Amino acid sequence: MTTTIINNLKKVIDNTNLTMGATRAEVEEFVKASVKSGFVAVCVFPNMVATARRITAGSKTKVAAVVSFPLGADTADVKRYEALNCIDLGADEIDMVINVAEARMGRFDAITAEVKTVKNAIGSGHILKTIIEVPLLTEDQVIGAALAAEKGGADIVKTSTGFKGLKLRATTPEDVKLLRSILKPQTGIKASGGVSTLEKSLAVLQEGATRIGTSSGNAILDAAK
Amino acid sequence: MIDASIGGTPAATEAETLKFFESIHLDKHKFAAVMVEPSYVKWAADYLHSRGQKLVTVISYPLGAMTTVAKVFQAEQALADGADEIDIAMDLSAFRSGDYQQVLDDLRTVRRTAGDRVVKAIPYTALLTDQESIKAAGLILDAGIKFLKTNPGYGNVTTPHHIAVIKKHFKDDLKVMASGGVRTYEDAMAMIDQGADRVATSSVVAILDGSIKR
Repeated sequence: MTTTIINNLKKVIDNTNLTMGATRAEVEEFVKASVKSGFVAVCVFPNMVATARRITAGSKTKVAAVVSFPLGADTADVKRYEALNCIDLGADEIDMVINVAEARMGRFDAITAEVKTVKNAIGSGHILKTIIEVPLLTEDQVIGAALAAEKGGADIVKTSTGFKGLKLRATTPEDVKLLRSILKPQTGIKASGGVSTLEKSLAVLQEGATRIGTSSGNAILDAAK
Repeated sequence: MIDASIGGTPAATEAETLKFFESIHLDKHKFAAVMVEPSYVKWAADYLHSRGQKLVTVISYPLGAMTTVAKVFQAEQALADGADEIDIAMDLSAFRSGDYQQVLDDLRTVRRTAGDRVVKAIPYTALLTDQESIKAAGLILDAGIKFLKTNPGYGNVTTPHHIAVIKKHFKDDLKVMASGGVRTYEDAMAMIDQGADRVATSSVVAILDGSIKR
């Protein structure tokens, strides 16, 4: 039973190191430990993609890179360029922040367009997660942004950056439940931002999350043992 | 000598941004620059330029963790869209890893991209020791950047001491903008007393009102 839970958690956790100013040695250590634990992916900044790739090579752990992180306030062209650059450096997956201001203005077509631009550029061989920053949006805006991202070709809708500089509230199981109720079954949901305990992880999975973004992956596995 | 930014409203809408522009009375005041995020440069350029106001935007902001080529692409687009100045966040990971050549190459490449425009580099003084601040400032200067912006905000607070350390060492060779936690007229004056050449703030109205009351 416990083994099943742990194996299931490994398959859905993007173990994350988005610590500003983390040294290369610290990120290397983090990626090594993540590969050893067998997480589905490590999530890192663009300037650490090549480093992470060298260590994950030959393992099952994928490299996910964040794009336009954490504010999302870039043009679609810049997001496309940065995403392609990350793929060139060895990223398997892209976690891109949408233009949150467009969502707050209700201009959901603009979000579909930017997501389409990036998805078309990286292609179907690379998973695109779109971070919609739920804590900054009203419920209507969450629904609009999530559907717009899905329409643009997002493989996974991700709840939040968890960026400490914005003092965002944590992602809740209710956030995931809402997204699950509106998205197509084949569209994944990544719960991230304040998902740092086993209890919380199981709660978001219960509501339909298909990935968890956390910097506490190993602590969550330990708690399940 | 103020770089004015909206602050306080993450992912500000166009309406919120316009309201901010109106609140700082560009008909009465000219600022060193008004800061907008990259996705708003094209939209804001005409409004600001037609009022004789320069516009600054931010590169690899606020975490400094983009690759050099992506920073260059982002800067080229911002300049083409109408940015007059760019503020670039230093690669703090490379700095802390002791990879000073990477820090230098990265800043120098973006400096060249910007041609004759003002470029300010952000070393995150709130996260550095005095010695590290001087080291980072030296790299910024070596990269051909003559203006240092202490911090990106987002909880990174600049103190007058940060300004003093850098200005004492580099004097007029390196201009310094105090940025991060400058909220009042007193805050601004404390920075200027230590030699700050500019201050960045989202509390423009409070600071201007403070100056009038004196």
